[in-house]
Amino acid sequence: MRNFKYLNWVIYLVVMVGIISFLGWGKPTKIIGLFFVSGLAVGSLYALGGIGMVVLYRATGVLNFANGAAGAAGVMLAWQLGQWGVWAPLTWLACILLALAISLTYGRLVAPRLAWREPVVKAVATLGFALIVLGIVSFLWIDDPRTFSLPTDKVGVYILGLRVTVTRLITFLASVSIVVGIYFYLSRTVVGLQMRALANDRDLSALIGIPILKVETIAWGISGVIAGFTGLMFGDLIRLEPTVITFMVIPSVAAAVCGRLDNLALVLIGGLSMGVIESLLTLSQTLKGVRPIAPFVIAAIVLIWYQRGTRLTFGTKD
Amino acid sequence: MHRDLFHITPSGRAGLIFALFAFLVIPSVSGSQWLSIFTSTGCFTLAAAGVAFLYARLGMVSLTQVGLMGVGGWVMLRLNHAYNLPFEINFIAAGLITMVFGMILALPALRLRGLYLALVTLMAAGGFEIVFSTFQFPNGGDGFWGVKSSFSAEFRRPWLAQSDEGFLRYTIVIATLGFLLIELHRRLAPGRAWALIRRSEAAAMSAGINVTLYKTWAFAISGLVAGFAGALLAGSLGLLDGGTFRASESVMIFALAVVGGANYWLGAVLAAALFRIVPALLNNWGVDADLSFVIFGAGLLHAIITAPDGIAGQLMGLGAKIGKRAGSAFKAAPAEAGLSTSIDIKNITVRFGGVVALDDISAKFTKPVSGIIGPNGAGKTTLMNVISGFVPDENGAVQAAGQDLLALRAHQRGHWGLRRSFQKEEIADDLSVEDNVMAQLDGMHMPHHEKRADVARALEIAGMTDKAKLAGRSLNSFERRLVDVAKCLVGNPRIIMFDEPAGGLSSKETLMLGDLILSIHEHTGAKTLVIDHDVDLISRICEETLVLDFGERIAFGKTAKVLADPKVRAAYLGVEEG
Repeated sequence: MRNFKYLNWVIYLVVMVGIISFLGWGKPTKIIGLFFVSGLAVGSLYALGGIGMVVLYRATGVLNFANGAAGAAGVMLAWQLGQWGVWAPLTWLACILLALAISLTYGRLVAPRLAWREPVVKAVATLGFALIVLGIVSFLWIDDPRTFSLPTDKVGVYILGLRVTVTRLITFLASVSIVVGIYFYLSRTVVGLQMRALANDRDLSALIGIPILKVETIAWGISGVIAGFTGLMFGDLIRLEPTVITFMVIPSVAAAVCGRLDNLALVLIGGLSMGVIESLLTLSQTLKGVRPIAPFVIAAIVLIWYQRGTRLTFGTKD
Repeated sequence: MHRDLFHITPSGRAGLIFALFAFLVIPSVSGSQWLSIFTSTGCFTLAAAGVAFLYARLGMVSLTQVGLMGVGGWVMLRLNHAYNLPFEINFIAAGLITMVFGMILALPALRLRGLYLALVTLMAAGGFEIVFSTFQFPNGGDGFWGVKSSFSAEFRRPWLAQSDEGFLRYTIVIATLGFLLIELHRRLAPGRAWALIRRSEAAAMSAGINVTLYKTWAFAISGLVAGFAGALLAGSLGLLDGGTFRASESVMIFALAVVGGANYWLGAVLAAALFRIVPALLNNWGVDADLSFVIFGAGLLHAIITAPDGIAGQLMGLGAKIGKRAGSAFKAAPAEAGLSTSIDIKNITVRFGGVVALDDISAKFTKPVSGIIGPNGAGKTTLMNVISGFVPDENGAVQAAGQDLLALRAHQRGHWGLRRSFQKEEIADDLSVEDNVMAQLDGMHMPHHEKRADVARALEIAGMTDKAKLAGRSLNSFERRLVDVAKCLVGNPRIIMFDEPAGGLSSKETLMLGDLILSIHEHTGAKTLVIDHDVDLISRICEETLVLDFGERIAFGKTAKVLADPKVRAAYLGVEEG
């Protein structure tokens, strides 16, 4: 069994190095480095979105497609407050608080009514919520080119001779530290233990007296805060458009799938790899146009790789 | 012969009347803007019917439907601009090519289901979105992608429907045919197979159903109607835009199909109406179309939480006054003499990782009814799963009537004559008792009237003849057990295995079930293996019994002798030896 594990890592490394050298063949190192760094930033966003979903999915069994919409609502509010001249850090806080409130609203009001349904129905229901949030946000802020920028965009640091904006650095570091933080939270605290118990078997956990409502509310809260932060960074780094940010959940799901909706470290690695490959595809003339497809192709291959040799004879919970 | 095949249900009649109304009235009273809106509503109705059918019949969520429409539309435009073929030929080609794409989508469905399947189809939709927005749709340009930046070339319409009005009528006819195609499948063998697969793939396989084939088939039909829908949309507009086929639209059409009611034709119509007509109306009234998202979202949440059958289910529930048809009686066919056979299990070993679940088990069952007992975790069900073909073993064999069962695939064993029940009865709720049993025979080659007679005979043996027309969901747990037994009796069974058939039954019901099992050999000639914890039942009906403990055979022989064995008493009753 253990050998298998190492084999997977070796295959992963070989494939990544192969793809990077294939795409970057004959290009100056500086250019490759540039795309690599911007890929890491985009990948961190995918990973952040995926991490938010996986934390929630493990604890509550809900795959929340409304995370993107919550982030979109948050960052639009931050933009609006910024236009009104509110002190910038307050607007960022407002973004995260709004996303948190949206997430908790669903988690407390709607999710419990669907607790007994199968995971796919729960996921589809969150789509309904995402549409409501998206509809309201698009109604309030009609389609108009806007930009949102953080003061950290203008500050850059030099790493190995490459200039990296602090925003990108923050995004990357945040995704790594959130994974590490949640790892310790899950393994060291009582609530973390309870979350792991819920992830393992919800019915048994309920029987042995785990306060499901409390633990779930905390999980909805964590995922709401991550969604708000992701929305803020996405609005800054990619585009400030509610629809685009809402449907960012699709590549986020791709990252989450790489971790089998379970393993946060793999979600992070998956998200980062997707971002890097997508970014480096810009170097290829033929594949440039379809580079956003990279996350989906990668996720599909990973899923099929995970599922090889398994048979569907006996039902699992999903 | 197919008495039920052409029966028109009240809901179906309403659907046909609606289609006729749409065909005759709507095109003649609509202005040109609304003609186009109604035509695209027709196209999306057809596409929605495809996803709704996958969801309602197989419980599979496909979030790629609008992407597949895009494929159909792309092929349609491509063929139109590349060759001088008539619309009809291009149309059929577009449908068939999209069907192939649908079948490719079925590949992950063979290994995944539920949430993961939905996610894979979502990825596929994302992929289609990017390809369409990057390469655009052919508009008469050169090369494979066929795009040019200036005006598009003309698009040929079907010769029956050159005008916009005619094209709307054409769309309505095709959509109606699409619905009839799906309904036809639902009423025949594929419909029964799908109902069983949705209930349990293991049950479907042991009923002799080729799960791979039927899943792929379902995706093919869904892809076919999506392709037709896309081709019609191309025909209506003359050119297509990548923005129409975004992943979010695929998600939306699925969500709306659930809101509308996936089980009904009306649901698909409502879904398309919500998708196309509501935004147009809001637009006409000067309301921001973004608010339609809010309506859709709220509708979806409402439907999922309170109305599992959607709006259509609520409407149909209001209008339902369905008279029950009198069931006609069948004559029981004489019991065919089955082959007399022994079940010879040789050296079966199964390991799950480091755990030895079965350790070199051998036993030769020769009596009509034999038992397998042992404490929890002894490997009883695992042994049954090896015989059924759900768990692979290491180099053992199961010989019966000159055939090594382990050399056959799971569903082939069903055809050979292996039958089994599961710890939980596997009765599809939405099929009638008769159809539940009939599903077992669908994969077999025998004349239809013989199948009917066989089903009637099995139901009579099980004492369920008078309930033959009831739906699975209206049975109590004992009746479900009896139907489960009846399912094992059809199609010349050779070996029948029951896994804890008496679980959850009262002692009186257990007695009746025991008598039924004892009568099986006389009716069908099949050998029966019974796993149960009820030692009274086992010692009453089984002549021979195999005792397992921790994957090892600890005794085998005459039941009374085996039960008296001190080793068995120690393992089973927890008495210390010596």
